[in-house]
Amino acid sequence: MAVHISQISKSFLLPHERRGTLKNHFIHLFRGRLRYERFHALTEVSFDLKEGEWIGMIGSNGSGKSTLLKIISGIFEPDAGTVEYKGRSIPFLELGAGLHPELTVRDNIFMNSILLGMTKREVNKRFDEILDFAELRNFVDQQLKNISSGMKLRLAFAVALTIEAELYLIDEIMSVGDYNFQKKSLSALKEKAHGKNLIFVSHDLEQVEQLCHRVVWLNKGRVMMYDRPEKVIPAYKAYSNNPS
Amino acid sequence: MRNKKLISRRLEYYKDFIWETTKAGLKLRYGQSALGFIWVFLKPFATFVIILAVFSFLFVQEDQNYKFNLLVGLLIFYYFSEATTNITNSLLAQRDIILKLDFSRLVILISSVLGSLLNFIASMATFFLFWFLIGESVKNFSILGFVEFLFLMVVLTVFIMGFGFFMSIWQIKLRDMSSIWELLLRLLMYGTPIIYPLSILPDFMQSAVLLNPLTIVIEISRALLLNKESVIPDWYLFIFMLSSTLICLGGYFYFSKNIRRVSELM
Repeated sequence: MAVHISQISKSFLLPHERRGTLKNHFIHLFRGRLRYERFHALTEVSFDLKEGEWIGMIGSNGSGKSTLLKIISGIFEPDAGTVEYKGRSIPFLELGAGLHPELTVRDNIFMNSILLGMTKREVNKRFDEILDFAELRNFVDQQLKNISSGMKLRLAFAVALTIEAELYLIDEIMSVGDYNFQKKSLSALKEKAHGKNLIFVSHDLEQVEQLCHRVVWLNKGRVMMYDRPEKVIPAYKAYSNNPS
Repeated sequence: MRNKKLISRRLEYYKDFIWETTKAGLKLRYGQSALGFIWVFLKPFATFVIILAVFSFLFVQEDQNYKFNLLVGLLIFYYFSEATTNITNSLLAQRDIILKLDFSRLVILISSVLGSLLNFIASMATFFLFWFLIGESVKNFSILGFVEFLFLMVVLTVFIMGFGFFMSIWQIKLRDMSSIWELLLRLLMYGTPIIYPLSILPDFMQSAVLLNPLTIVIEISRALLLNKESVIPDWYLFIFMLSSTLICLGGYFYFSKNIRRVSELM
């Protein structure tokens, strides 16, 4: 097994009332104990990916998809369970995180690449490649706030794409840029992640069916089904239309 | 061989990471303003001029080096105040990337302090330049004293790091921490012999003020830079060094233990 996700559980404590400030803490001291609600975001989620397998992750909003991606990429710690894989993962989660509107395209390429784990020398080597892929050569010394939002996403995508990884985590980003760039980024991703593992979160069921070998369906933090797309997707559609 | 290469790449990576983050932080702060970097000097020097105008006639008889001492005190205090304020807010200010990417959170704290330290070095350098141009007290300058002063600033920075390890986490749990600290800093400004000479205080107040680590740092720095005997016994410095190291180490453990869990509260 190339990626082994075993018995992941994660819950969050949600306070009934906001109490981020000292005043609220004091009020609660007098009223008695703070009341929390335990929200189970994920419950005993397990599945494996074979060598080179791409899987889709589907489920309604709040079913735990993003939380699971954050646990796989190491941002959140699970309450229980383990995630194992060789090499490193590269998260394409909400592209554009860590971009600074006040810095230039050039500075942003460096900052963002470094955040994703490259040294400055490695960025220098790939700088032109990134710039060309993002089609931003004419804007290289523009501040980011002065270029369009589609261009920003192209920049972020181009940076993430140059990183070598064994596991790609993609969260709702294939709607990046205009039609041409979407086609280009998808085929670039196909080439780059070919033979590697990829987890693809999307509400675009057709695309999931086209791209993925298997699909995992999450519902209220549990795995409902994990099988080939032509089995999972019809079941998911039926369930969504008539949730009983 | 391969292992060695990996380690050197790791070191290079952290060097680049810290340096680029610091640079970006400074660019973001000063890139957009017309006076840019000059603001770094303007704040302490403007305060210096005003305080000098108001208080110098009061204290100049008590302290012949009042001007010099005032400026040294202000610069160190501004460094301390800026660095501690920034590091307290540093994690929250970067919540966007912390919630999206997995990287060493330690870098955020280090580059926050490094940014303040660079500001401090720049204003200190300007200060010394002026001081030598005016030609005062050049005769007092001693290389050894200066080196010891640099060492003292390193210890102060270690103390600030330790402080930041705790405060940056607490600030996420309780958003009041930065306001509380802002208030304390204001009190600290008057609880430290910056505007007034230590010697004007009655004895019992002197010993109270000496419990404040900033008093120790500032008084010793003044003595070192003027090449004079310090009124502060050496063992005060020793205790400060020891406790700074302990706070920094303890803080590091506290920080590493809590940082993952605490990011859920951001």
